[in-house]
Amino acid sequence: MWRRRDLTRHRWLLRALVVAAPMGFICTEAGWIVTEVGRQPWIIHGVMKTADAVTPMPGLIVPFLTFTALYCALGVVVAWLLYQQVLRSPHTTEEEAA
Amino acid sequence: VSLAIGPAELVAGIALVALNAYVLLGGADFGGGVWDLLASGPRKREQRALVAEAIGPIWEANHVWLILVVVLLFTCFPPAFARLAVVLHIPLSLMLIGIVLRGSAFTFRSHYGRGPGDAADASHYWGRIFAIASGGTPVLLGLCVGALAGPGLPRPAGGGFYATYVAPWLTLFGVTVGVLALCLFAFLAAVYLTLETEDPALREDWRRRALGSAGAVFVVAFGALGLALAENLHMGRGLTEGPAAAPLHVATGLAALTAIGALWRRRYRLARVAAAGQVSLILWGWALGQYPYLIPPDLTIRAAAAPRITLVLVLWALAAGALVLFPSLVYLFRVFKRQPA
Repeated sequence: MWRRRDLTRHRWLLRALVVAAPMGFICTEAGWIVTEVGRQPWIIHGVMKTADAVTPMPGLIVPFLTFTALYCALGVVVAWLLYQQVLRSPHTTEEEAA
Repeated sequence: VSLAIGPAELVAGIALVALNAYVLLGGADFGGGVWDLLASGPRKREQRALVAEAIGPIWEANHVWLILVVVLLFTCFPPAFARLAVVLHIPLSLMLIGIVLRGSAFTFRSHYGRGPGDAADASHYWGRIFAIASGGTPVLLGLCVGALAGPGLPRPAGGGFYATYVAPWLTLFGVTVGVLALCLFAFLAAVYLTLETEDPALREDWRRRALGSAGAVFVVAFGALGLALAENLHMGRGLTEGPAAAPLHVATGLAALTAIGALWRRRYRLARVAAAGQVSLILWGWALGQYPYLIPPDLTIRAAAAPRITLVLVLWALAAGALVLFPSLVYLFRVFKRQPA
């Protein structure tokens, strides 16, 4: 009785799926950021300050910028590839679905 | 040198076993990338396809061993980890970039060129990045090992930037060990690849490459040993004077000759066992050569070890983890590495 309609034609379900898809990633990342930022200025709470833990090598801006640029570039590539995958997914017309 | 085995030595030994597994499994993946770069002859395309097929499903799993080594270092030997991370900051960062680029390029390459209207060029460029990162990363790994094994990594004594962060690892001996690592990984990959195909012509390609890289290993390994002796490095003395030195050299030599002989006579299964044995013995020779030092010239395994309770807890955790890890790995290899029937 409750499966009156084909699930793939349930517009609100589909919309919810689109919203839910990235939620897992966002939650993981958000939780991570909360623990990392919330712990400051400690790297180990009550034991060692972040400023005392950092490597003494001067010029840390260079690796920081390098890794940031690397992951931004990889992020762009991943987004573009996912976009291509979506474009390429089989199109189901209304008649086929019916 | 007395061989007293406590929890510290036990953990160090396990870290060495994990490094050995990484070299035999992950190393061959890097070597595969090198052969992608050097693909040549009439079966160029088939060579690249076989490398991709052989690496495909398992390369990420192989990094489990490197992660284990890193975790064991920072939980059980924090002063050693701190010194490595500070002094080897530049090669370790570059190595990390190499590993990341290599893995992503490998994945990206297989996602391009799947549909009409795709730029075949894009796939080609990702292939280049994959191959170049595959070749550069082992050299960097070897540079780090060479820095440890050669002059050692003394506590930074407040010199300039170059003296503290570059000079310790950028040595002739370090570069030689880097090239040796590259040759060893390429050799392993070529030997493994002889067993990954049923095509006789393709198999001959890998046999020739395996024999060629075995020769390169021979030359570079003796070059490294000669340098270690000429520069009177800690490693050179450990490799020639210790009580285990002679048997170890004999065993390594026998494994090398068996590998070459088996390749020559096309007995590929024997060649695979002998090649893996040879590479492992070289690794254990390094470890034995610098025992009891974790970081020559001054930091021993005992001196760098965390408090006993940490080591004991880690050993229990390792035992529990092994119960999960080993069956999973066996299953993974059974699923993806079944011999072609």
